[in-house]
Amino acid sequence: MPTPAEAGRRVDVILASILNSYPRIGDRPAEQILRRALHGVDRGELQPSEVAGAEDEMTRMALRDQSEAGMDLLTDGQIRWHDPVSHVARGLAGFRIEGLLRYFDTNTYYRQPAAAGPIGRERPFLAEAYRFASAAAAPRPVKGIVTGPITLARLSRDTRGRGMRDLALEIASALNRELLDLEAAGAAIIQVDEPVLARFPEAADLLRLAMRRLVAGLTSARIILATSFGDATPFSGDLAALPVAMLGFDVVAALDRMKTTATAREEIAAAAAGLGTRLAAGLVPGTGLLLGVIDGRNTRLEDPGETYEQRVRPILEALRASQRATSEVHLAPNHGLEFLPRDTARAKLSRLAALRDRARQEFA
Amino acid sequence: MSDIAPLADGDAREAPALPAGLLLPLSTIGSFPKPERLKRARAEVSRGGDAESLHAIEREETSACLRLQEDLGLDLLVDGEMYRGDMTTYFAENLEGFRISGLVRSYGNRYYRKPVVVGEVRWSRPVTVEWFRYASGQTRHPVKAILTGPYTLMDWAFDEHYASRESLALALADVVRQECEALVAAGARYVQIDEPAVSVRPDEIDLAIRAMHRVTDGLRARTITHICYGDFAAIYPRLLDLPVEQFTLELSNSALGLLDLFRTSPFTKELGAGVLDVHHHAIETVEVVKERIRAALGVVPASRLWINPDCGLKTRSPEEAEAKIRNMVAATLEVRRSL
Repeated sequence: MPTPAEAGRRVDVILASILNSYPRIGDRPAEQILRRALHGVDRGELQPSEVAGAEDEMTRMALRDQSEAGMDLLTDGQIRWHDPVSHVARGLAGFRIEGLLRYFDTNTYYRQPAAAGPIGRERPFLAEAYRFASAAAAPRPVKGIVTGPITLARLSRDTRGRGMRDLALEIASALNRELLDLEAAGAAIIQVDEPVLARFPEAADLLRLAMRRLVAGLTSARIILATSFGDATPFSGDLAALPVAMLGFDVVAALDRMKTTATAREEIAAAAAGLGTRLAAGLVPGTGLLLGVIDGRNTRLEDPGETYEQRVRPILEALRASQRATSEVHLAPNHGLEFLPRDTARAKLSRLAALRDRARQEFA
Repeated sequence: MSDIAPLADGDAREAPALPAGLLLPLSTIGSFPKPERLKRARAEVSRGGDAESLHAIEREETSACLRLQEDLGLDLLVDGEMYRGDMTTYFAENLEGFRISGLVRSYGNRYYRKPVVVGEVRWSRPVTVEWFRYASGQTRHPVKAILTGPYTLMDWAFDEHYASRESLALALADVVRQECEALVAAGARYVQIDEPAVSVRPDEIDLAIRAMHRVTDGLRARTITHICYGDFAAIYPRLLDLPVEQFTLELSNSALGLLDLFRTSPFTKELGAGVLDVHHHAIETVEVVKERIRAALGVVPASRLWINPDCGLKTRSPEEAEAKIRNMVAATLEVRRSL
């Protein structure tokens, strides 16, 4: 039980948002315009410019779905991204885009970039899409998203023979210009996705150097460092000193790993409380948390009451009890939602909103 | 491999085999491009149209696909998968324990209806046997039966029922085994069990191997598996413990990088070398394909080398697929003559 003093402490801000991607197709014909446009171009029946129009429309639909479900902070759904790796590498100089590789343990692919020359950035490649989404989502805010230097370096092929460290730092410097442009385009929150961290924790040292380069010169934008595709909470302490406003974790994966021996609800809740205590202990005061509490990889729909009791409430209680209380929590799916059918994605959003509402009632 | 193990007495029929001593046998991975009339008929059925006329078109196009393969000079034929939407949903639709979800992106501009496991998975009737019989009846060449493997069926479905990935994969292995037995009883001498997902989670390679044992141990057919587009370095050479005789692998999309890997530890099984990039519009020249074949001969001897595209050809237009195969066959014949 919290002491009276602890009970008085609040999490100032509790938001609901998706992590990054959203389905670019649905089962209704209106939700298939992008597929039709790309097919049309492939067959030579449509001009490539018509794809951009379809991307705009699918982006608006993704924003509308999030907005209607009551998300507080939106994303453009990454509708325009071929995949999280090559989309960013294409925007940078020095990469060649090569063959298909599976993206983590999904049954989707990414095109592997090959670093073939000095990495740089000649012109902005994310800011215009950000401005579009931001205008379409207004008055709700949109977070800018970029795949981080460690993930880009690790999932690319280095043909230059200079090694991953060199590549990651070069990418960080090049992407810094993109972050400055996103900030100038109005992005108050910029999320840096580093899905490889959960699998390559030894990269945490390199990440510290890369993040300093990545965020240099930003004056107002707040940075979320988001992990996914596995449990990065065991080395949350290594991430604590990074120059970021918030850290994001895959709570579903963390609890899955911890509950292999625990099946009773109370035990799962206890594991979540332990997780919350560990996270709180490692946080620099004032750092916010993005908690991936909805499973973005499975169609099974979470029961909001049970999910709240097992994944949300114990963690927020532990945070409240900590002397290093966090001021901001974003509740989110643990992955992008593009791995789910659209109807399931929508249903997950409504559950996420319900979790946010209960959390606010109790903690905000 | 040219010498086919004789089938035991009591087989349902005498199936054709490849000629003894044939070097660099030519085959494909399974799917061929679907003609426009087939796509239209399929779309009409999804809007409530006549399923029987779709079925008739599927049969006609399967026959045409087999004739095309014969004309092009392939040795081991496939049915072309004219009747399949994709490699997991098709099986899920025909097994018990699944429902089919809404559209999910596969990659690029391709989408599929991902299966959802909602109960015990069971095999209640043959899924592909009628098509195997039909295809075999259209040609005097041997036809390769093609199934999706248990690990991939597990990994590429949403699981709302089983307690663990392991329990679902092993349950599916029993299901796939039953289908294999039915195919063998119908005369299949070559069975390819596709496992593209096994390269994805290196920590689960043992599970994939256990599941494959349930499928192939004691099966009276030559067994093949197809794997593509993954982190092979993480599972090689353990990969070779998958209990099959042949691996058909994607070499060209990865610029033959896999061959370097196979030099780190001998490739001890038959290699079906992917010499056509199926994700690229460009038609490889005969010279390019010959170079790829010769590169593959650097890691496995001719007696263990088969020639095929990287993956299924359904991603290409009919014209592209035909042109690519034509050059693959021409290149293989030239290399054969030089051996």
